[in-house]
Amino acid sequence: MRVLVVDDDAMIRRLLQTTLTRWDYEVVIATDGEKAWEILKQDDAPSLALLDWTMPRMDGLELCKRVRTLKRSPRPYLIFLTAKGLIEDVVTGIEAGADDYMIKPFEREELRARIHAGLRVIELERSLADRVAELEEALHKVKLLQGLIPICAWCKKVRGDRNYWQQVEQYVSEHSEARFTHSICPDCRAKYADPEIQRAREEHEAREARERDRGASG
Amino acid sequence: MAGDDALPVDLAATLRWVAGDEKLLCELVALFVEDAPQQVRDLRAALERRDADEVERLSHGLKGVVANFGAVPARAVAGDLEEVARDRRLEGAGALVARLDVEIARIVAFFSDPDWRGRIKG
Repeated sequence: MRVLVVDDDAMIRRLLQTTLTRWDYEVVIATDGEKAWEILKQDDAPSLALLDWTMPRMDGLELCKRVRTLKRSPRPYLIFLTAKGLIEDVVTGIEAGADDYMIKPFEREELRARIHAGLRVIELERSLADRVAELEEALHKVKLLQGLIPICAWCKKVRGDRNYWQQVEQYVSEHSEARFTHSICPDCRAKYADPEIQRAREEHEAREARERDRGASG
Repeated sequence: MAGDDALPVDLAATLRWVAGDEKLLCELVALFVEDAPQQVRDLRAALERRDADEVERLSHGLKGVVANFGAVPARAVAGDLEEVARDRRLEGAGALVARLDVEIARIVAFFSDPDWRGRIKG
């Protein structure tokens, strides 16, 4: 799990790097907001970032606003870690798009717990994104079955997407999660199966009668 | 504990900050001793240019750094300086920079004496 640390202060970077490494996170470092933005806009960016607010070039607030414009899901989880401790700062920071806010100097165990909370949110967003993708895919299949399907009036074959005729059950199986189990309905049983059974029985009886006659004459 | 009141930093708080990791603390102290005097010089230069944004940014940074050492007076002065810079009231900022310089010099002097590590346990 990778965590991005963004701070212009070498001491804080050193402290966070050592602390996070000890907690088994892989640490990526940026010394100002501009460098952090270059990292966070990549698709393979760390999923959680600890941000200082006051930095040269681009500050943490502007960085938050930019990250919020990213289209991908989940977006990086942003925790402000700043000495700006006024209530209005906290409000401004969170309104700008930060997910959490900690005031320096921070307690390590609190930071650890807040990172854990962030990871839970990231995990939840990821599983939701996966679920939505699954549902969209399922919906897509359902839609395929809802279209106008050409079917032969006589043999009931269906003309598929690639323009060849196939059995209706094969077509439905390919376009949905539905599967067929073959059976026979009462009407077809009376029309096709029963006469077939009757014919087989008569043949069988005729054969037995012939064998009996052959036995009697021999 | 009466002697601790005279220290420019709170060693117990500092040690809590690094979760008892003295080696890490020594590295951080070395970075501070190296960087902080330059940051104060930058602060002075920014004030001479009447660059309120830069005064605000630098004093804010120093406030965060000294807070980690539990340096209450230094933190208070840096906080005041940040506030006047934010409000664009730089008239009184010169005196605040001078006070911050003194406070930071005390911390740097404290950590420059190699004996400071002996005080952690004592």
